[in-house]
Amino acid sequence: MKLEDIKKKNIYTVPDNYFDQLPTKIQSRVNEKTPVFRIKLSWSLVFKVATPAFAMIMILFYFGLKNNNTYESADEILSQVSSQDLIAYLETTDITTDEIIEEIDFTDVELDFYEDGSIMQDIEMNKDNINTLLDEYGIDTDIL
Amino acid sequence: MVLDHDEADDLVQEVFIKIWNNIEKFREDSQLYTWIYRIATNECLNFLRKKKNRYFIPIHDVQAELTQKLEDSSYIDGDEIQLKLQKALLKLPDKQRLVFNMKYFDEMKYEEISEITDTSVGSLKASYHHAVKKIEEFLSHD
Repeated sequence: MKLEDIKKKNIYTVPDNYFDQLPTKIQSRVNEKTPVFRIKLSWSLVFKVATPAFAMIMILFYFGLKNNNTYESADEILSQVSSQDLIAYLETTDITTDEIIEEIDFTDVELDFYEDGSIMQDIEMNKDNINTLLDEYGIDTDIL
Repeated sequence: MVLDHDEADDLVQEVFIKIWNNIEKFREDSQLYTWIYRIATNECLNFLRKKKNRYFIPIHDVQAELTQKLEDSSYIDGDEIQLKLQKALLKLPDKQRLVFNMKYFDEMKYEEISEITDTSVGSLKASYHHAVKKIEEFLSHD
């Protein structure tokens, strides 16, 4: 069956007056203000809280400087794993090829696909060959 | 994209609230329409991604849940073949489904979709062509 055989129609509907009520609903949510809590501060309270906090920051800063251990980011760790190991890992997971492709940024990538979805690479074809293939697969040149 | 009316309603409200809160950040280097569409598509894809990750639900369960919604929803008005087309669309990855909806149902130009989704026209053409093949295969066999 071809897509053209199906009558194009948006089958999704909304309740009556949905769009009439929508602006009011959005406006009421926009107008919702988060409650503001006011705390009356006294200098003695500030002093009581600030002194231990300052001491704690200084202790953490001191031990932080002494600690020479560096932590690797996820990117750094992954860069040490070979592509083969990554492929082997991905093959053992439930992640599908489509999901992996979905995560790839194709912004600067131009891909051509075979009929079965595999990617064409570095194929040199003259115009006649391309036209023969297009005719064979019944591909409309307007979509290319 | 999300099929459920209540979830779609929540998303629409979230999108407009985001637009309201960020309108000052709109730099006018694209049309307002494109900017709004981009917020809506990002919000939608993020919602679906979170849904899949929530409680470690496997992807096929989300797909089954959405298929069930198609059959149960009272806000769907289509004949059997149109319903089958929607079920076929659920077999596509979310972003490919989004591209298909924009091209096929919204009849948008590739250039417009490219600006909204930040994807090259070539990739979009390949994605749409691939999606149509998968849908027709599903419609022929199931």
